Amino acid sequence: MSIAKRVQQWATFARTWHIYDCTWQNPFESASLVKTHLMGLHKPIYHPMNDCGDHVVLINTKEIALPGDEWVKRVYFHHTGYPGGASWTLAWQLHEKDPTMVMKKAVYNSMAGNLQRRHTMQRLHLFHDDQVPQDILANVTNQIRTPRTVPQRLDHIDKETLENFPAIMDYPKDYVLR
Amino acid sequence: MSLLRSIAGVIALARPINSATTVQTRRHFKRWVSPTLRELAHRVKKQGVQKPEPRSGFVEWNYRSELFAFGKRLNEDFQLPLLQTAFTQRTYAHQEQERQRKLGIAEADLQMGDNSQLATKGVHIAKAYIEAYLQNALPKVPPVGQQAIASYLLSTETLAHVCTHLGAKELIFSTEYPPSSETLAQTLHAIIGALSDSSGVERAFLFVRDFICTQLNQKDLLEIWTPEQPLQLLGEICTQKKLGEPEPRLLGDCGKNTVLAAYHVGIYANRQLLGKGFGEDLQMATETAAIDALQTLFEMHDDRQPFDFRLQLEAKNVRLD
Amino acid sequence: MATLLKVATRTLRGTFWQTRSLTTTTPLSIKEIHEKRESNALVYEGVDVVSPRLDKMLKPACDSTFCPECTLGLDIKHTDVLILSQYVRSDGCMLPRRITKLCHRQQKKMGTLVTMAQKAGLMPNLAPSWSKKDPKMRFGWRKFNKYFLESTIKY
Repeated sequence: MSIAKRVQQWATFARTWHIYDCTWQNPFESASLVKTHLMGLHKPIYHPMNDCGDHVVLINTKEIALPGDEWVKRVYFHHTGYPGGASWTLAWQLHEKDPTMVMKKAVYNSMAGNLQRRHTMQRLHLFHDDQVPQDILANVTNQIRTPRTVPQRLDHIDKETLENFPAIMDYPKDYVLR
Repeated sequence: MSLLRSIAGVIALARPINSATTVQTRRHFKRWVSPTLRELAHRVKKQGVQKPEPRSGFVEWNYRSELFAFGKRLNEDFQLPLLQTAFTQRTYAHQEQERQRKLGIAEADLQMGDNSQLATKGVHIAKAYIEAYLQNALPKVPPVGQQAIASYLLSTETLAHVCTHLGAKELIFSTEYPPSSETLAQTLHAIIGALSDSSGVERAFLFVRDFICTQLNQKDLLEIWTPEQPLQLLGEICTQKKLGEPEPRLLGDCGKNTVLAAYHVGIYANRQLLGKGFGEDLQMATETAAIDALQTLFEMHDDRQPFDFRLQLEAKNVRLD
Repeated sequence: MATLLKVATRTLRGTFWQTRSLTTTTPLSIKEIHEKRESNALVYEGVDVVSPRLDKMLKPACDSTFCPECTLGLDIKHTDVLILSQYVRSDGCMLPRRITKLCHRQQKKMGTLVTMAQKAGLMPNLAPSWSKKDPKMRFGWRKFNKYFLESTIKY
């Protein structure tokens, strides 16, 4: 094998590090996206027996958003194995206990339950805020585009935009401002 | 061999050919077939691995017709005595002479030609033609590279490989069987020499082109010849061609702090991208980028125009010394 | 003759309008209620103000009756707080249809969108005075981020 072919192989199987900002993202929409990169499904060389998955760093998992009232509708089940050991935890309670767990479980459950799953999960790095260790951050070279735009709060919009934004409704003449 | 033949006989006995008119299917094998075969297999195993037996040891071997067929297969007109000489190794000729001398044959009849002269001639022809061919096919590759590729084509392994697949193995008169790769290579040279004597040197050139140069087809040229110190060489070439100073730049990387770090380096000269390369560290990536740039400059990339094996080189362009 | 007639009508119309302006009630204008304390007395005063939106009005779109969806074809989401906040009082209450001039369906839809934006905590500054303002301070599950799908609005 010539040197060019050897480094071509090296580059083909290089593990890329992606970063994904979970702020205001649905964890279950994000999971399918993250899973694709974790397993290497986005690569033309993908094969189930081919170890070509990438690393994904998830930041701000504390800021995930669920639609409607799903925080109280989604329930995580656990059984200790002993009689009466079943427990049901609401998503918001789980999120309060561990802000990375909802996201982690979403990614874990999005993958097929085979022997590879736990090894693939080892390549997932979760952080509840944006404080990522420097040695991990140095590896990152790609950002995964988020499907959902982060909504802007009215009190965070700067004053200039607020003043220049066109009005589409004026008060009637007899209106008392409140 | 006789053992094999007897096995074949037993099998033939066990399944006599049914007459074409009435097909009678038999629903059983005779009770003795299986133990017999088992016994035979046991004996074969006990004897161990046997040396390959030359085809010339067979009864119906006709050397003259084989020799004739050899030329016809290759669509060449050989003078048969010359061709036979080309197939005779020097050691074999000596051995044969000794044997005949012991039998008391007169000294005058003992003259037996060997292929050393033809081989010397063939070496010249092959070397000259291959060098001329490479000059024509890879004009931008420096002489060092052309020499390396030529020596690959003229190496014993390549020639032996060609010679074996031309079917010369059974025709060679040699003291050992199967003939060694050196013998095969020398025989191929001798065949080229014999062809040149039989039907002219142009024909020999075409033979070299068709059977030796074609070994380059789909080969990774970098595997045959890799420029040493590519960055330095690239610098020299860039100054020659006035492309500007080559400058490696990082195009991308991933997993810097891991054992699987990969770097992507591009080599620029005068703001023009010359080549790109990967590597597990920056030095290796720079080196491969330089090699990539050199490949582009020398036009020896994998995706270059394929070699033209219909090339008609003028005989005067081939330097026979 | 024609000019004479025109002058006559103009003067006639002028006198007519002048007579119409002589009304006993004051002309209508937008008011703001100011609260002042003057030595043991609480004084409420209605001050005439110019509408703060007067020079920001989107003229070409708002000449006739205006609904964002009907006239402009806008697809408003609950995250478009700059639009939604215009239909809301300073305490976060939806303005009535008499004031918003929206069609019935739009009024209902806009009300739902405003509710969604408020639940998602996107307009925390437009809220009653007693509210905590910061959505992160809400109780229980309400403190976590949530979003809404506009497709769930029924009308």
